[in-house]
Amino acid sequence: MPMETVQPDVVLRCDRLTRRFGDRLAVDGVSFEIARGETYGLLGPNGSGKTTTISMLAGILVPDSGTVQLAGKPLTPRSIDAKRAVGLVPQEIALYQDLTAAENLRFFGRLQGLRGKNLQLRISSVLEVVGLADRADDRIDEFSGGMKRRVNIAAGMLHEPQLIVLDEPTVGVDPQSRNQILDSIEVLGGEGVSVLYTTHYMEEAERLCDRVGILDGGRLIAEGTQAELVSRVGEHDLVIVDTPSSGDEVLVAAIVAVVGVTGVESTTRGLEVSTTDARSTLGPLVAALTACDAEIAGLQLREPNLEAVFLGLTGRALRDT
Amino acid sequence: MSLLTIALADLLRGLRSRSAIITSFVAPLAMAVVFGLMFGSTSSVSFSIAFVDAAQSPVSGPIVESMLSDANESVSFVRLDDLVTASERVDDGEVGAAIVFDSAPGGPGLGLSVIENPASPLAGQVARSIASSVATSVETGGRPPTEFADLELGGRDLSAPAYFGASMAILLLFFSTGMAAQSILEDRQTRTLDRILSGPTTLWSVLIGKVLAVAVLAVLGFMTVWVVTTLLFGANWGNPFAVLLLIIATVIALAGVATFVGGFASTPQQATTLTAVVTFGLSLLGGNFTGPADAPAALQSLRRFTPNGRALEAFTELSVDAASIGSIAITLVVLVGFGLSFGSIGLVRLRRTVGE
Repeated sequence: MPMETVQPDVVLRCDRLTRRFGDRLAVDGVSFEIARGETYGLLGPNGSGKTTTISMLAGILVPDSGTVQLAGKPLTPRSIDAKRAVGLVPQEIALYQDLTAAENLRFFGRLQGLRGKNLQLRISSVLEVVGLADRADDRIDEFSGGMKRRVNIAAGMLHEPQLIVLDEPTVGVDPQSRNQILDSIEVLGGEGVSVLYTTHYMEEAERLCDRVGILDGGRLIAEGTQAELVSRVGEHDLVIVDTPSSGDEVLVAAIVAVVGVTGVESTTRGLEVSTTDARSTLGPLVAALTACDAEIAGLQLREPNLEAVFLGLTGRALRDT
Repeated sequence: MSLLTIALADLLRGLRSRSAIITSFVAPLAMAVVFGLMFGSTSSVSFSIAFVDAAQSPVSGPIVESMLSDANESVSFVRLDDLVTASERVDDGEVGAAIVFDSAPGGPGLGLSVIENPASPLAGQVARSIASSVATSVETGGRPPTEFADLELGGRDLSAPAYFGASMAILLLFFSTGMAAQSILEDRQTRTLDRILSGPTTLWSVLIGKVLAVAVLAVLGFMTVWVVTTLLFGANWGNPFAVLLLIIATVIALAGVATFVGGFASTPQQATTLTAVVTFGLSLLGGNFTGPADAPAALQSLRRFTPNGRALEAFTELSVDAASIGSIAITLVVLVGFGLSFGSIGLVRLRRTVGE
């Protein structure tokens, strides 16, 4: 009897999205999907097409070609159901500074069709999530930058969208607010809300994102989990051993025999040991070194990350772009 | 529904905004109060007009004699001996204007001239109207006017607080209604517009909602000037229902102009600058700065082609002539048509700008 494969619900499906501004091709045939409850990171340098892609996914910009489906419905500027499935959190503080947090949320909630008691409950709920329930009646222009960003996020999740699009939500915020924001986004993922997240901070993408897409020059040049991307660029875990015994052939043979080790290279400082998983290999590796009476001056683990992936794929660091 | 939500939010923001309150309420009121105090706290402006009968003709003599005995609450008449004295008295401000009857050059007819002082524009306008009525009656062989009531301006109650209240309120309407375009462009800059449009709200709802909010604020501001000048200075604006309709039509007209101007801007700062330039130009043409009679003839003829000039003329008719709604009906239609036409073009341009 064949095993039945259960496909996760797809909340967002964009297919060959293309958008041109004059002669400039801003987005060139971008396709990807986001499953229910999945957090998808969209990484790319400035001018790579992230904001244009987000604008098309949020229904603000009409693509020249290609399609967007949200919660199974095609997205057009007039498709109300599809548009209600998205909550947009722009990079800028897209709030009215002269209104209170609650007044801003009431305004955006009403535009999303929320009314009365339900609207009031949602306002209380999202302010609770972002840790600002006690500041509901304070004006936005009295808030710190981090608090404004938190209300900015609250406004995006007010109407319980199936997909929240967050465009660099932690730019310029203090560490406390940043943690609060990341915690809130993790809560969303846990509640089954899909998240599309763009950031310049690789550690945020590594912490939050189930999968990552890398945009460069308007094209999606790579996509997958962090492990898949790492393997795609040929990066692997390294254990760097500072030892004067690097020329000892017996030692090298003993290291190669350790399970998980995929290669050994001699360097001026000692040995660079490639492994499938540095953390699990570390114990047996130290045992092998000790057994050979090798002097260990130092040990360093280097695990490939998204920064290395980005560098490998585009030839430049994300924060330098 | 989104349109009303947007309008209500912007109205609330307007009522909390210091600059909106100053532009819509405080500044026009303060300027109207200043003008009211300058012209006294009575309901009327009073001034005198001098007659110089250098012609000593059978036509000029009776007219001057009759007029001298026919002063009213607003206007008094005096006789002066010659042109030089009249010029000096007008320049000194002792009389607001002078009408000089002289022999027509090279013939037996009557020559008429008016000496004015820019500081007394209303006196100048009245004097020119008297001279014009006399000249018309002489040319057509009709009965010359012998009483102030016979003249075109006869019986008018020249209410300065009403005139300048309306004038200043109209002047500042350019700025207050210009805030709609500025607000839309600000929303684009902060990407608040993106957030709004990512939901089930159309760009048209945003644009019209914002114009509606500033229009309501502007009507409230204008009405405040009306009520306060009436209560403080006893200003007579005329038939209240007609005044209300004219205020609404004026706001629609100027909101249309301001939106049209805003349609040429791509940033809030540009919108503010353009609004200031257009306000200055139209106010000059429309007579908001110069008073009803102080502009050169060429500019006065252009006045009717500006929405503010046209509105000011209608406010003057309501106040001075106690005109009815019927007599300003064409102006109401013109103002609303003006506002809708220019406003539509402005909205289309703004839509293109913020939709890019």
